[in-house]
Amino acid sequence: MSMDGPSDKRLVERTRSGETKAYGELVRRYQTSVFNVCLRMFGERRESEDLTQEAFIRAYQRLDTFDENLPFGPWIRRVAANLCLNHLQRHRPPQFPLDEERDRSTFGVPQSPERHMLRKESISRVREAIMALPPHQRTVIELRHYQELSYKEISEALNLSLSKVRSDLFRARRALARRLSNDVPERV
Amino acid sequence: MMSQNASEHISDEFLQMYLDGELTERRRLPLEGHLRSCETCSQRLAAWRDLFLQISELPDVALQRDMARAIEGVLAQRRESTIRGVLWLAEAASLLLLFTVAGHWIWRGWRQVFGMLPLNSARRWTVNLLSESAAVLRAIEEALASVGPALFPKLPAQLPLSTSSPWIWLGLIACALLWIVGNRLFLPRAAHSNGAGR
Repeated sequence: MSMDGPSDKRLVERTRSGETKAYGELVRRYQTSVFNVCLRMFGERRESEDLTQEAFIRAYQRLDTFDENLPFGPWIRRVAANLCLNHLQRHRPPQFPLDEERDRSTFGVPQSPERHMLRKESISRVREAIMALPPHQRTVIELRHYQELSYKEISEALNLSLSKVRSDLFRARRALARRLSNDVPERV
Repeated sequence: MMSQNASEHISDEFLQMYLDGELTERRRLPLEGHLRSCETCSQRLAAWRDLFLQISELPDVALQRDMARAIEGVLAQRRESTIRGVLWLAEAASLLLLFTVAGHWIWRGWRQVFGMLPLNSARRWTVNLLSESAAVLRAIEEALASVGPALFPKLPAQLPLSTSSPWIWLGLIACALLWIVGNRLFLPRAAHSNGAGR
């Protein structure tokens, strides 16, 4: 929520009364985070941009179901994650790697070139490892690690049982550990 | 999955639930007690924690275009086409009402007009055509007269549809209003109308 402009709640109220520009402001505030939800789940930039747009349009159509006393960001990201899951279940997306020069990540603190390269490689490996997961596992990883939902919230968002959420999450993490060659010692 | 005995270790699922903050206090306390005394489980916990960090620290990628304008445009277009659909219906309803009112006048007046036509000098096929059409209209009127009361028993058997009847004037005013709405006359245009059509 921007400290300078109106609150998200106020923007939602104005959108509901017909002000499309108010919704445009909400889009500006959350488009990057929603895009990254789609990108983590789809891995392809163009498709992710299209899905981002579709997620905002779908959220607009469902704005009546949104409780404006809750934060808008987590809700729109959940809408995006569900939309991406539906798409993944219908189509298998093409696996185009991100263009390293074009798709700069926001690394934050400047680093030495060597450290920068190592970090880039690590990031690339994590992205590829997540993209290699089946759709449901990718979705639970997104909702747990990036949207910080509890197991119960994930099961409600995806309409799955708690045990299914747990087993998808554990299998996904084990697969990621194997791919990233993280040495998680086996239980003796 | 977990035991007071140090030779039994904690399962991966339990360690992950612990890192996710999903364990109740009843289960968390004994687990923490075990971790304090078991090097193997502590190392496994640390490895899982590193993996979680690696996953969660994936940085955001910058969006290269502003979607807000495009989305505002799409929403405005959708609203415009919904309005256009409603206006089209209003215009169609106005035409239907107009044909109904005018049609009633035509078929009511047709028999009178037919009687006034100079048919003596008209060609035979013209006379036949006109008399056939009058017969058809008469048949339709008789059919409606028998069906109407059955379908709408509460309506008067014959509506007073003469030229001075208020029904006629109400019908014509309704046509005019619907036509005005359907053509968006005297109504503000949408800000993002593309102007290509109504």
